[in-house]
Amino acid sequence: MAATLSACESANDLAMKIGKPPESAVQLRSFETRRFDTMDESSVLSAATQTLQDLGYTITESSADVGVISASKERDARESGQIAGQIALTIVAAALGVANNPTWDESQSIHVTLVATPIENSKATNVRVSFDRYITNNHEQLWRTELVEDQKIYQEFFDKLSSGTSLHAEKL
Amino acid sequence: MRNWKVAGALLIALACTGCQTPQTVLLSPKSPVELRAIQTRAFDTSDRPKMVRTIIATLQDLGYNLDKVDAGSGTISATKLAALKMTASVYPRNPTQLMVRANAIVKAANVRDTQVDDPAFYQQDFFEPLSKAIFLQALQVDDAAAAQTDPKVPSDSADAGAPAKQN
Repeated sequence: MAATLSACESANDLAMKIGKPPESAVQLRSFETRRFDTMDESSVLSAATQTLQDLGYTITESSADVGVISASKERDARESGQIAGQIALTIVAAALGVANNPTWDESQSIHVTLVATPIENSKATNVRVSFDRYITNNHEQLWRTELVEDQKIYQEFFDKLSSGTSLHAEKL
Repeated sequence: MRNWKVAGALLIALACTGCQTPQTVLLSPKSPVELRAIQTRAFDTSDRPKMVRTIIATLQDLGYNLDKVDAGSGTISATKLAALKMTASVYPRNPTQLMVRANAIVKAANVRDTQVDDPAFYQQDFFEPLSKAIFLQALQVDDAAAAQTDPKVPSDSADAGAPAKQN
């Protein structure tokens, strides 16, 4: 899901648009959640912190008593295909006498929220991790924000987390 | 030559003040009592840590990224897609009930930060999912006295301090 902001909508309209549950909520939940066979929430959290640091994230918030870790990182978002396409478009536009300001994804900040929850009446802990990204274009404008819905990214994270611990991540 | 330098410095100073627009939040024109009713619900539970965890899970499920969590004071701040900032706080209403207050602000490019005051937003996009997640009804608190935690406040609709009514 991506949010496009326009200035002509009221704050309440924008809140209703952005605030509604993601369309793929059910699918996202299954991508984002794994069950670990341990009651030791703090060891899960410290393993998760190390995994995030291995992936180059900076921890921005950590609240162990409720199982929360937030982290973020900045990354290059440039893709040669997109840039080449934009430049080609500008050349064609110029040939037709139209000005086109080539715009492409320049950088992105990726945010991750990780929540560990002990399961009541069991010896397991659920870990849910969610990623989103804010993309800034080559004119230094924040022009695209989206929840990361690529299953691969979640799978990779959980693979790394399981290999960093002796724990096995179980799909729900 | 020196004059040029002074003029240059002045220009830079002017340019710098020019980009510092006041970033105060545009508050809702609704009355504090009305806003409190829109943003507050009571829940029949006294388990505050569980409520804090359920709010965290609900916000994550809704696609928010958690910015700040303080379990001690029961305050959670989260942001969705850079544009919607939500703060929720949990506090006891009486020995058997908790109050949850949510406050959202829209942060859009080139627009002043604005408080969200649409009752539908708070109901549909926060209290309903929260209510489902904690398996408890979100009770509307529609008078000013009800939002107070002092059980001595005389009020006919607020059942504060009357745990006998609890099922």
